[in-house]
Amino acid sequence: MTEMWLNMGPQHPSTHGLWDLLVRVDGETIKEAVTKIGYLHRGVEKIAENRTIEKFLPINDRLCYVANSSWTTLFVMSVEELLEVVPPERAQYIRVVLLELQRLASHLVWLGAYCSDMGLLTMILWAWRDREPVLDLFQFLTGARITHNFPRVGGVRNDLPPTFKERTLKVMDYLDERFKEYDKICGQSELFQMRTMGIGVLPLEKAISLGCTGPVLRASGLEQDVRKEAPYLVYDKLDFKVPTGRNGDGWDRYTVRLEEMRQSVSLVRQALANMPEGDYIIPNFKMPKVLPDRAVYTRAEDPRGEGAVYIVGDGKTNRPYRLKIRSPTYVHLLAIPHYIQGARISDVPIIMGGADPCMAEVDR
Amino acid sequence: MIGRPLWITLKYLLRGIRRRPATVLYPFEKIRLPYQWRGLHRLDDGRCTGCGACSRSCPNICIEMVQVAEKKKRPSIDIGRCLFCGYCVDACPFSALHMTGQYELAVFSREELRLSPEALMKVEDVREGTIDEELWVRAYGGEEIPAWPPVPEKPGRGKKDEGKKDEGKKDEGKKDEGKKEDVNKAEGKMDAVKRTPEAAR
Amino acid sequence: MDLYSAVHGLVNWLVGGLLWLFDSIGFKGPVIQFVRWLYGWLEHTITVAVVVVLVLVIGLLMVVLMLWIERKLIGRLADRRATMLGFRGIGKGTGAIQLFADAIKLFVKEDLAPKGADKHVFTAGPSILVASSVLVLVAIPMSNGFAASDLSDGLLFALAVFAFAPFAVFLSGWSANSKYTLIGGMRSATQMISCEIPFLLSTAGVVMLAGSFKLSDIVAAQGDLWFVFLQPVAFAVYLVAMISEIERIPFDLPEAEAELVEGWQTEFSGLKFAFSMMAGYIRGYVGCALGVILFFGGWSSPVPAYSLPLPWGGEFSGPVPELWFLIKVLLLFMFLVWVRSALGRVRVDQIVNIGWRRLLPLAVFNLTLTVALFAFAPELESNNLVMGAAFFVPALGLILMFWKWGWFK
Repeated sequence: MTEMWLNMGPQHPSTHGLWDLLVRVDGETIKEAVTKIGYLHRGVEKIAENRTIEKFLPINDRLCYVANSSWTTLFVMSVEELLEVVPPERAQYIRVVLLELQRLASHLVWLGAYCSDMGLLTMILWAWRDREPVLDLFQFLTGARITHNFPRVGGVRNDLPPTFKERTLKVMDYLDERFKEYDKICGQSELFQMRTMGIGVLPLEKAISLGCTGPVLRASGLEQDVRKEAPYLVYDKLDFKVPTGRNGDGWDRYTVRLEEMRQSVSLVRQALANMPEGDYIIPNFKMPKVLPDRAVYTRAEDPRGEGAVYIVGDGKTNRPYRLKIRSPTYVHLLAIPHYIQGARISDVPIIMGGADPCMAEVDR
Repeated sequence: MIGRPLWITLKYLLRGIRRRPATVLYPFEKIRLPYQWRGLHRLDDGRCTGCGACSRSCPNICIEMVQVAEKKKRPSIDIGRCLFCGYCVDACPFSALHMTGQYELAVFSREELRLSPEALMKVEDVREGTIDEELWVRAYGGEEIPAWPPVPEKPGRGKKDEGKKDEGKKDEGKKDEGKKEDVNKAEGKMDAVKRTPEAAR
Repeated sequence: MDLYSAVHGLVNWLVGGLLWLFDSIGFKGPVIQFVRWLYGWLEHTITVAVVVVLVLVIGLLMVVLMLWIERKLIGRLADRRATMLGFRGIGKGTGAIQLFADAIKLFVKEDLAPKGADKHVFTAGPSILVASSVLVLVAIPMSNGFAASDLSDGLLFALAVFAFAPFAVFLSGWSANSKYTLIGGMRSATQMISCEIPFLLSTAGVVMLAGSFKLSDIVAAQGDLWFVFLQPVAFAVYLVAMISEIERIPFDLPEAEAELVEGWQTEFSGLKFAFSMMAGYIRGYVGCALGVILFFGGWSSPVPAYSLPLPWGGEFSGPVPELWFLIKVLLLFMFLVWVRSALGRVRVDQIVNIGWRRLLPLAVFNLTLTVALFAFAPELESNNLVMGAAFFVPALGLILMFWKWGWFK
């Protein structure tokens, strides 16, 4: 009798972006769900066909507003693979520092939004307050807080400024303290556990068959990380663990991401300690006038999962013939209707948040 | 159970009595910005030659070279379209454009967003604020952190800036709109410009 | 001397002054006779009206104060400064101007009703909510004589009218013709069903100890020892059930912002929204006031009586009882704000679980223990220490048991 289609619609306080989840509910239990995306489509892949590589680089920052440099670095890596150039070692270490700081910032945004969806309003303030020192580091290194525009083909834009290393290490110490506090207000709070344990369980076989990657897959139990399987940049020289969960519910996704934050802190410390001297960009590097007639598929570990870029060059111009971006959240959002049956309306924000949507990269 | 969260919020309440909370009362307190901050551009008239490198490097075609006097062209930037990416600053061979720390750029009409070269010359390099953004790290128990490094000395005309750009940058190769001008012609012109600062070293 | 006689004296004095004024101006005799006769009829009515207005005004002023306290405190608990716009200058003040700005904004907004909504019920919903909340203010005394009416079964009246509001929430949720409000209204009904009975039962032990439903008698019976030490389990149950009745975090599911955009308040705009917010805070005040009266000694001073000589002669014997009452209410409210900042929200099935499987057995246990102590050891009634021990020890045992067991699962 009380079955109805409820529209957790494009304008909703908890969808973290513009997408629509239509759920058919019976009372408070969900029977069926349909995902509708595309509200933020800007045609980025088509824009890439009309621009040269350098002019397209700032647009990569807008591909995800919380984890910008990971997409720019991925794009630059794919172009480097296309042109078969290798950046110098110092540039690779600098890129690793940038990527891991970006992972920290992205997971902090996620943590704040996840907790505020279940009523813990204090947590969003703390997570975003602690993201400020990381953004200040970006501001110091690259010149802007969010739209960094930092990686270049063949290296990075500029070298580490003086005193960057001391500041970063200080911020890492500060964040270590904060993770303990997060544990106290979230992890050890019985209400938080009640709201997340057993919610949105995604079994491992289903996760693999749906194509989930990243923290969602790791929370279901599989230890899979692109940084370990197909190491890029200098990840094979750095030492870190890949956290996994057991059940694939909201609680495991929280613990996996919290542990990933701790590993990112350790990675930043290692990268800064082992950074060699050298060039930060290939000296006297000039972009060729035409892109080679090849196609390349490059993947990297985005904070949300496995992102990939497929770039096709034709041998005639210096613009890519086709650019395809594989966004991990696109897969996760379309996979939600497969494991949301039986959940309640109250659980929908938790499940949505567990997939960590960032709509700009879903809709591109 | 529920004790830990209650205890930790109480700790912050008590801590906030002695030490300031993490709130910056904008607009009465502002944050000090580093020298790389990409805000509004500033044009140095003495150094600009009107070569148009900035205009060609802009990804969004925001910069237009306008005639301000007989045989004198200067850039005019439309900040409504500008991404503040910093390519024009990197591209200028004479360090005539640099980005200041101004970010309060709201105006009342779209036409005012197109800044003429005279307006760009009058932009002030405002970077000082009332609060150091190390506030958070320092306020939460850190020791003294070294102050921001000073703004690097800008070398004279013809020389490149040490702190922000460096030789061997490949951005000379990207002065290309890809729409109207012939690609090779633009490349050739840029090569001519690029060689001059190199030769001056 | 109680409020009624004080106000009566004041009104008498005012009317006497008015008559003297008429006389001195030179009105005719019949006019003065008429006024005197009219006042003879309306004396009681006028006095009661003034008393009620006074109690209401104090209640609503307390609501404003509680709003301000909540905002500032929840900001400080989360390591930030909140509402810094003050009267002394922007950024320098206490933040009071924000409340006025909010009120003015809500008053001037357009009043909408969704298409297909039941307009009369939709408009009546917030009105019933506010009316029932304000009606309880009438029965709550602030000190021995300071009340609109100190009913002989004041507690029953207060609890009964307090429980009326979820009905209004459900009505407004249903009548707005919107799925979000419908779900919000249903959740409110569920919450009321599960937490109303423990709320009432937890006060039963107090009534037994005090011997009457009259609120001033209950406060008088706490002269030696506050009932929170004699009935700790009842206090815990009352606190949780009160937070659930007021619909604050952690129990604000009808208004859950992340899932249902504002829940049952989604379609309200302007004055209706102001009413629902106001009703929430009035109920918060009422709940805390009842808690203070029942468990914390009402208006009795926590420090022993003292008297300090004043420099200009006379004595100062401490703040008036009304002030102690208000201070205690605000302290209890600050505890509620603290809980709000630290805890998340529960789910609908979890609140049914909490209400029926945790709170109700505890309340029944408390009642049973009180009855047993009264029936089998009536001579212990006067010995407060033994009474306290008799209640505290099982309470501690129960709490430990629940800790191991999982309080909310």
